[in-house]
Amino acid sequence: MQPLRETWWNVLSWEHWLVYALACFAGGAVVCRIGRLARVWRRGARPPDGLSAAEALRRLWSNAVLQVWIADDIYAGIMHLAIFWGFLTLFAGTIANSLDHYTYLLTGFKLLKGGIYLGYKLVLDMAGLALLAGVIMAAHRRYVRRPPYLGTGWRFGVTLALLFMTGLTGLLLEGLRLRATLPDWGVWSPAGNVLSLLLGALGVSSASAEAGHRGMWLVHLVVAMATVAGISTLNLLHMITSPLHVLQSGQGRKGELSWVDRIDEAARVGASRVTDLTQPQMLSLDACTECGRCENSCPAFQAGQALSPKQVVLALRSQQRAAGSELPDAVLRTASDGLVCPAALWACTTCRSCAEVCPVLIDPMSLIIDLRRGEVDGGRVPSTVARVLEDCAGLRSVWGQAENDRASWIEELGLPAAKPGDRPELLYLLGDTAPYDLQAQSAARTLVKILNAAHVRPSSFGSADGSDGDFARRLGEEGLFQALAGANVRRLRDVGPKRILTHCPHTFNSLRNEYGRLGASFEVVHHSQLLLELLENGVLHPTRALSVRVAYHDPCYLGRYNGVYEEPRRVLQSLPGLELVEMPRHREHSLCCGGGGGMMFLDVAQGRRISDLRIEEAAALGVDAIATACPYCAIMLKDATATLAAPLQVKDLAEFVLDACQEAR
Amino acid sequence: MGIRTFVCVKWSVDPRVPVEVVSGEQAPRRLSLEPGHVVNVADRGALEVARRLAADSDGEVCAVTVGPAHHATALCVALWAGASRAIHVVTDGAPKAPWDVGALLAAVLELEQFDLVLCGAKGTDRGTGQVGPFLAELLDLPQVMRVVGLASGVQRERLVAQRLLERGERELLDVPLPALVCVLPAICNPPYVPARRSLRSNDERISRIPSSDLAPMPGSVQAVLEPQLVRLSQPRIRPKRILAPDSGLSAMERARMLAGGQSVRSGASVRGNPGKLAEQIIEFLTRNDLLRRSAR
Repeated sequence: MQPLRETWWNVLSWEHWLVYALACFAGGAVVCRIGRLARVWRRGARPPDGLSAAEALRRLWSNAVLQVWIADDIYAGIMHLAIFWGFLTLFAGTIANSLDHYTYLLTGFKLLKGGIYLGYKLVLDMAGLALLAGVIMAAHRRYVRRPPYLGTGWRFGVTLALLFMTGLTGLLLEGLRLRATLPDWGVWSPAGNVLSLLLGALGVSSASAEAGHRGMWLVHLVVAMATVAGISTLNLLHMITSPLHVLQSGQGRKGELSWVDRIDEAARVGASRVTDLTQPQMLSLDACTECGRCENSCPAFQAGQALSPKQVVLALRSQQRAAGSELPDAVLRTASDGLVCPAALWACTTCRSCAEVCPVLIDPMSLIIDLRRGEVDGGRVPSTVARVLEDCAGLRSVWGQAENDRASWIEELGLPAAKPGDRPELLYLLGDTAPYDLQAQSAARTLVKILNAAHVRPSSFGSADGSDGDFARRLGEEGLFQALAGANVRRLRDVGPKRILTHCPHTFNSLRNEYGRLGASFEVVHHSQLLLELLENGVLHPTRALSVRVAYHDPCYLGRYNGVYEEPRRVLQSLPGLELVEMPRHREHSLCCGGGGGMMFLDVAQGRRISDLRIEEAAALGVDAIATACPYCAIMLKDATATLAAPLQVKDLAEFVLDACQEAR
Repeated sequence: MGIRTFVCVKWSVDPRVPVEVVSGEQAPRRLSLEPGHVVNVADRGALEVARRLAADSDGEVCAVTVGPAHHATALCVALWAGASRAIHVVTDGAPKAPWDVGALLAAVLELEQFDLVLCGAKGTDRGTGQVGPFLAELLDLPQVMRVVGLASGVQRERLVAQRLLERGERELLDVPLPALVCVLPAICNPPYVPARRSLRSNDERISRIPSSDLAPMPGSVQAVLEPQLVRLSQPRIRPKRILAPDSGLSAMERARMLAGGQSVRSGASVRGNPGKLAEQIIEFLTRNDLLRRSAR
């Protein structure tokens, strides 16, 4: 007898209709829920850019199917793959079985027979085991290990219980059927076969197994349908919303925030109402799986500050769902009695680590920036933020220092100031930090010395040099950013540099990723990249042995934002006697210094300074110094070494190169 | 009916931008590539106070400014800050003397119904602080200067104003309406004005009146000429003065004073008319050997 499956074996005819009824109910519940949510999402603002179909499918493949984020957390990754593929395979197997049955009835053709059927059984059995194993891993992680970033509410418990019962009753059903029918091919269902043998060993007869199968079938039906229906209400909803979001997300360049067109005429800027969020943002709130990875990676959360990106997403989701019929006028509450408190809102350093680790590509940082924009647009900003923004507007510098001081210091560097039409080969943009901060001044002077030794003579931007607008933008003052960026682009175009050099990753990111909206297309190089060029071309000759152990701190705006990880490392590794040590959290997982997003200028309302955590990390490595490639990181980390009295130097990359190059010193 | 407030706002130079005085020149140099303008700091405080009074009493706020066309930006900011309408007296762009500004404002306000006129104590450019008093005089209003606190009185027709005196002392006043009040920037922390609000110079709620259309009020035509700026100069470099005992004292007396442990600081507060004050000051200085009186 060839192996095949009698689809409705041991199922009464009225029970067929029960299956259809419950399937309609469960499926209908899911469809209705998604329909209601989609009607809410569509009330959001349209995003300006679309995603190409090819890119959307590529993201779906890597994030939803392959789930490439498995490498970040092996345990969670394997657990989720087991649950996801286990459940999906079982679901697909059930659908395949039904289709096979009705195809046979209509056409007489049956696919699931013989070898195909045996393979089908094996795969489904393994899927069932995988599902059970994944659920057990998940329950252990959530309720036994209890990491702080994972919730333990009843919804998660019910979800895991339903999944477990679905898998378990399915396997029991298989075991009872095999015990009742005793087919020759039982070994092709290994788990079911073991259960069948166990039942036999316990003295369960075939007739008893058949009777038990009838009861277990009803239980399995109810549990499985409840699980499907649970997609509409439990956190299983992410099975639908997360892939949808992956298809829609990240439509701009990494490192670029959303642009506001005709900002002087816009009725509102930022998100002060639920429907001010874009459609993908509103979808993202329902796509959140509450995995807690963003919270776990957030430097502010790790420092005990008020911010948790996960809680921001869930708070917004709660407001979106509660808005109901009040849309589109429902206001996003950000007051101290609201769900997103100001202390959390103004604690974000915009380091992007939350967006980097999210498995479904949610960008909590962009949500926070949009909330900040809404607060700024309403004039509701802390006094320290207001002061920084007003200084930036009046003096083109977040440091509140006079422009003439900046211009005269730049002049002291001895670089020729570029004039309109000069078209210099290399224009060195110093920005608004180097002229005022001693640490940054030292780094800039050092770089100029190195460039002189390498016979590279950049021009300066002279009195036109100033803020790139990055801090203003990250603090939510989009209008000021556009004004500063517009003026900078005009002046840069007038000068017409072939290449722009900057040692500030924030300026690097603005020029490379954000000024393009204003029609700028400059070739920008960070000083770590230029130094590497000079070293690799043999223009610089580091011959002096340094005898120093150095840890490299990846600046967020150089690494996570722009993928520049290798160049600074290769620069350091090319210096004789320098031993490069990696920080525990490095590259994409680098811990922010705490200065980005305007946080350089704000007090820490609660918890610790993020920079203190970073210095403690470095001190534990026993290194002599920290190398960095960002003036803000240097300021924050140097401050922290002083606060903690850590025996560490903080130096810019260029300072190590100068130390090693005899001719430049 | 709530308190109807007119707030006089000025589109003024940004006070953060430093200026450099070069001796002999007619105007200070602003040390900025693109010197910006903002609503005068004290006027922003006035707007916020007006908004609060209107909110408390269900009243209304109207902003008014005098200046060329682009000064309407100040009114756009005022409308964002809570004014329900605005009036722009459009001039030809030439700088106006404080009296003339006051006269133009008075000509507008004479045609309006109001309970309160609020002005900033002084502008950040010329800083004369004269427009408010001139306006009060032309409109024959009681005026209160240097106000750092303003609230509705028990009766609707009165306000309670807190004035800042020297050394931080305060004076509480009961102000009958209508009145004109000049406020200091310290009156409140106004909300931050988003930069994009300073990019607009047009709003349908702004009524524009060319200054030539306004008839001068009686007594507002000034026959006295305005003082003219001749030149600016920097302060003379002076050597630092070091406090030392009177050189008329003997060496022994001076050494005793320097080394003798005179560690007690003494001071006194004196009152009286100028003549009596001068006598008391001379007596104090003499008593402490800081002044040697010549024999007469």
